[in-house]
Amino acid sequence: LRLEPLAAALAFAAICTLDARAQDEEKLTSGPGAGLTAQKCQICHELAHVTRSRLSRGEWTDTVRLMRERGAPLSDAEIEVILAYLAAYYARDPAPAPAPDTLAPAR
Amino acid sequence: MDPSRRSFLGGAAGAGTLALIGDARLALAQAKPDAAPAGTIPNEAVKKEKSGAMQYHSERPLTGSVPAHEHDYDVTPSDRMFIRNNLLTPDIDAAQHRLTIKGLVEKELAFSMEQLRSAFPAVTLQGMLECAGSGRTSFNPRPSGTAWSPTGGMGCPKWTGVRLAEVLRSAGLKAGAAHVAGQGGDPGMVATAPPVVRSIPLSKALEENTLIAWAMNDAPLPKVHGYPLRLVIPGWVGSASTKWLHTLTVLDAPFKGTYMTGSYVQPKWATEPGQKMPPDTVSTEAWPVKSMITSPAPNARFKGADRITVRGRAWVGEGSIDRVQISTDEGMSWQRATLGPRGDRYAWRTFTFEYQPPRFGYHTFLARAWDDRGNGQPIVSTWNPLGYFWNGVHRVGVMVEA
Repeated sequence: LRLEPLAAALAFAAICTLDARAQDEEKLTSGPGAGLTAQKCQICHELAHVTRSRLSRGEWTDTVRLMRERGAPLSDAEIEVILAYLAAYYARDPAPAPAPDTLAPAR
Repeated sequence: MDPSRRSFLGGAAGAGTLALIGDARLALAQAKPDAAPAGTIPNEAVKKEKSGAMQYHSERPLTGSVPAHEHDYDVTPSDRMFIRNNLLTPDIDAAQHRLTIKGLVEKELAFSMEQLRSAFPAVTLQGMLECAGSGRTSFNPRPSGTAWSPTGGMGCPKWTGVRLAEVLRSAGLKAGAAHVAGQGGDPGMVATAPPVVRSIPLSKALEENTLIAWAMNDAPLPKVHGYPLRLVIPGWVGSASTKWLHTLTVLDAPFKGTYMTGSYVQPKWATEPGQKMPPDTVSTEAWPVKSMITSPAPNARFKGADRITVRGRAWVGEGSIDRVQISTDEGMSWQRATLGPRGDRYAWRTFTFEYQPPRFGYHTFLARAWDDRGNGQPIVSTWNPLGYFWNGVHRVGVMVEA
């Protein structure tokens, strides 16, 4: 049994998986406002900053306000659409855990 | 480098130029998201000079670090120093670079690199820098921001430069001088991006370990680490150490801007985990006491008869390390590690602990440092909306096999 082709195939599969994951991180979940959100956020940073986040509406409000402070070209109306989208599709789900009182599990 | 970016807070003059350049950047970004705008260094060029052990968390802005077991050095090599940009990496011509001192000073000054080197004595010291959000992924629930691991986003290299205090005194401080703001020359993707400006209290600015540095580990600063000039405020949150420094402004109050009020703040009173930032906040300054195990690596394999040397580093933003404890029973009991020699005031300190495993199987080591003011590392750090100052005890598990 020759292992090299198998190893090469496994390595190739691993690369594809990594690549697919990286690509997924750059795609927003479809939903009302996804297009505008992607267009505006991508001006300055990767969408992974969004897709890796799960935040409450209050935290998203703070984050989007901060982005406007950092120069993001966003009107009030656009902010409403983007906030509604982010709070629905990138919400903390389930609700935040109670205050942590034990050693946080390694992640 | 767009010269109009050099004016503090922009200003009306040159606003048109800024808008034009910004539009060009914007168009470029939309056409080709990975392209580096003119006057900036592409990420690939930055990464070529870094260690293969670096793990990158984002490309725009560029952020990356090495894991704890790749930090097993008394002095952090430059290629393992963490990267945390807020904007893009500028390509600055050192020959043209000027450092301007203005605000509440007797006389406004501007130094070329050569003038700065010849006017003041050079100082070299080892000093700790750590991103305020280092360790963020350990908070539960997870706050927004760069996904730093529990031990990601710090380093302790050697820095060479001049004391900020001497430069300020040469300009002469006016009555009312209370804070010093550093402005960096890093550009954003859009013209509307405000410059990165952070201020520190005058007492910290005048401290002998606060530097305006041009070298890291005896070589010119790498471009991504602030070439040709940066502030080094060792022990404090990394963002205080403005990279690509071109203007120092002496103020009567903390600078008011997005990098002072929108980030690098904590709730004055701890919030319930998962809540948004309350109105009452305080600025993040010195790091609390922290440590990490840099050897062995997680899941390392040992033979039953092997003695295991646990080695790590401990540091604190103000004060000094008093002791480091190790637990081999998940925190039920603690034993003292041996501290290495005390170095520069803000350098991390190496500790070692010799251990003979009494049995086969999985073993864990917990490290907990204490400072000279009686502060120790907590099991879980206080949650805050931006995920700053994680300093919970570090835990590494290994396997002892027959």
